[in-house]
Amino acid sequence: MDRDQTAREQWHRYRSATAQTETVEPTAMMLAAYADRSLAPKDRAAVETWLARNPDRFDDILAARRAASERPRAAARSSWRDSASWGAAVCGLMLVAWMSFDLGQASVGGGVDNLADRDTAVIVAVLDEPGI
Amino acid sequence: MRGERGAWDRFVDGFTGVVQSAIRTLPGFGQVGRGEAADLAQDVFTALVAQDYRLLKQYDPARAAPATWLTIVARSIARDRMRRRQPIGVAIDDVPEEALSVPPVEPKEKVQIPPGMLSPRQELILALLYEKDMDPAEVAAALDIEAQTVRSQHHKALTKLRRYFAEIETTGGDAKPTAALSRFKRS
Repeated sequence: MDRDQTAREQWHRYRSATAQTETVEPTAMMLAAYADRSLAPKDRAAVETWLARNPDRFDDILAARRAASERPRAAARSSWRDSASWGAAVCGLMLVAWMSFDLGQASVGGGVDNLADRDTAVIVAVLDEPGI
Repeated sequence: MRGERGAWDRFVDGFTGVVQSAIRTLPGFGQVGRGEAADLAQDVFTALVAQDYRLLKQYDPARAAPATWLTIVARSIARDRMRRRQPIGVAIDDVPEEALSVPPVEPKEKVQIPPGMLSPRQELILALLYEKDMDPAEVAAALDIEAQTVRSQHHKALTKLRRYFAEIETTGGDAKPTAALSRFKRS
């Protein structure tokens, strides 16, 4: 693909001309939803407009996606340090995920969902404690 | 801190790795010492519980996975903290002359771009290609589209820019959006 200097300069002219257009920084929740590909289309446009003006922040999106994809392996490793019952449960869940023939799932979709649920439960436990 | 230590300890234990990974790839992190790196991670957890867990309460599991959200939050907090750090002072006599030169101020672009000339997706594709220097395959993977779509959107966007700026040159100088120029609407 041709990315010549003229094209680069024209993009920079466009950027300079639109730099004053106000864009509101999306919340962390919106950026996370965008990273997880669960953002509604109308919100997605606003996030992409902001990211186009702040392209360095796209690294946050990529880092978040890496974290989510690496999480099942990290969580599975830590489960061996937990009690034996947790270890057996995680092994069972991962076995089900590997044996799943649901083509609508992402490659580790079923496993990710269950382990994300477990991660969520950890957060909920903090917020559900008395006094919070 | 209110609440049972157990739940919070499990949270910290479970997500320290996520936080550390999140901030490790931030620009400028390489200049941060080990102690400061630990402080940055601590700052993230402190921010999560501040003001009665205000930030942690914002997490919505229906919208994103915990590791995704926490990575975004951790990078945002750590980035702010790193920006606020006092820069290391250098005696002015030790700074090379060329480093002290002030670059010429580029005149601000006076052109007024018609709203919606490029779609948000087109803008993002051009930003990733020209400012992040990503190649089309990387952009395609990042945006969950085909590489051919990246190329075609790139071509469409550049065609619009080329025609628009050519027309600006023809009409001369500080062109404001006119009926003719307003045809450069998003497609």
